[in-house]
Amino acid sequence: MADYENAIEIKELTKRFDGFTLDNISFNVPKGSIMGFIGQNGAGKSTTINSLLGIIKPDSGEMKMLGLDARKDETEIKRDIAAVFDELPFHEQLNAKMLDKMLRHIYPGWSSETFFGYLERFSLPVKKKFGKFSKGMKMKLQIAAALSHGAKLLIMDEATTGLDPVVRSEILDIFMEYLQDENNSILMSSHITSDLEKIADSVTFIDRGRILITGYKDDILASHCIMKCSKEDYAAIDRNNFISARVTDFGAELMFSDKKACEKKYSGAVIDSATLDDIMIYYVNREKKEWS
Amino acid sequence: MKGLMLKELYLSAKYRIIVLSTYGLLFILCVLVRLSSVYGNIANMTGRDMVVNSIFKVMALGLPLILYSSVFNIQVLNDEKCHFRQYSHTLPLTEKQIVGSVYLLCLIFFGIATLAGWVNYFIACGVYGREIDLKYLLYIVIIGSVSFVVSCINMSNAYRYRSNKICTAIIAVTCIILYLGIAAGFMGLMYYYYKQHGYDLFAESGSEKEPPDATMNDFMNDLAANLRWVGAHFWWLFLLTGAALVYLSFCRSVKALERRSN
Repeated sequence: MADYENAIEIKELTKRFDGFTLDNISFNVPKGSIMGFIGQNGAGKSTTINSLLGIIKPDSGEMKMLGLDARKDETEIKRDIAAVFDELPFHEQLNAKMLDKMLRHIYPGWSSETFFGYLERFSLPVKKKFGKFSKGMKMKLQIAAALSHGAKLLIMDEATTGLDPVVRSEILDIFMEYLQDENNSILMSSHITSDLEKIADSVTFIDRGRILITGYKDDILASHCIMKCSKEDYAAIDRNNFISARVTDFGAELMFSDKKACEKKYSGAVIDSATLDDIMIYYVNREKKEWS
Repeated sequence: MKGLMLKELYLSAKYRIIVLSTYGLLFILCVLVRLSSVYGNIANMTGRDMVVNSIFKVMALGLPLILYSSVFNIQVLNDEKCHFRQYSHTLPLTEKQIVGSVYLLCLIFFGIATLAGWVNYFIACGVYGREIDLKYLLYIVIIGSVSFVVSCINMSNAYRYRSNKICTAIIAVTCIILYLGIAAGFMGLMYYYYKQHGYDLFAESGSEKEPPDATMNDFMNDLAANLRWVGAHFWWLFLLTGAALVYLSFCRSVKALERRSN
């Protein structure tokens, strides 16, 4: 495996569908980090991930994973990556024992010991058919399978969606353990931003097929802010200065992408930190500029 | 590849148990008929030999057909339904390996079913007190080969169309066309055969007709002789066509799996 700086490098990736275009997107996932890939439903997260995994063929663009070309070195790369989807991709008639036997012959680095270790830790039955698993159990099973062949890159598409907070927290702990090895990286798409706020090092925000923000989570959170003001004060603010504004009967809340400049300019106003959720909502409404 | 073959085996285990149970049940029935023809009610029945002959043929050729039906069971459409197809693109395997594992498993089952069919024939000969006729072994292989080729074509349809309805419709339409084709061919041959013997099958019923100087049995014997001649001289053509169909089905399946942009 080549030495590499970024676990994932995407450059000008384009994919056109009828009614949707993934438009020239570029971003990197640094090695040893976890990147949150956020955006509302239909924003292009799954299209990006499916292109990366070779499930769909992009129209143009370059993609590298673990320092190798995602198309030319596909088979080699796939030995060292693991994918987790929102739906269990295994047949309902199978059980964990069968899955172990199956994947043992597919992945050269497969460790049955690790797999059964995870199953025990997650309290997953070995002989129960997957069809009888709950949603949480299915997700844990996928994660156990993904982490049992020594993958250096974990790609997850809406993996924590639909899970209760206890299971989500348990899974996030596993990811943190996985990242203890500095060679391991995670790309995690989700619209549950609270999870990403907890564990992500960097964040990429996609909307309508375009990347709006990409960078370190702390920098993004530090630079964005929400200013609260009355409707009268809001009317006096230049619309080009903020991303968008939520206007209610009680006043207005405006998002700025430069917190320092905002604090300087509106020193008397109430300025709060923004969460990833806020950033997502205000950016999604950026074209309307004003919403309630 | 071995991993995917194991998956196919696990998933089809239930189906194969059903096939084996059906086979076992019919096998016992055939043996019981034989016992009855020696010691039971059929022993003194008129037409006993005809019954025994028919059941022997069922046991010798019909039961292998049931065994060959185990080749047919494929999980390609189930892969689509449970998102495994999507997942398979994330595995360190090429499309050829993914498709190849299914085809290879079918080939292995074809081999096992052929051997089992031959053993079944030897047992049938023993039970019915017949001498071993090597032609039957060939007939069994022919039945199996046709099943194998059909299952390969069906698999390529499953990869291509990803829909159970479309695959079933294709099989149904093909069967209807084949049936009509064979029936029309048979009628045509019969028409020309009798015409050669001075009898027009489709002449108006009122017109006077000379009786044909050949019977239906003569026609069937002639037809069988012609088919045997074609088989003896052109067996390689059938073999080649079968191999080509399997190869083309394989390539079509790989191409369908490679076609990911949807």
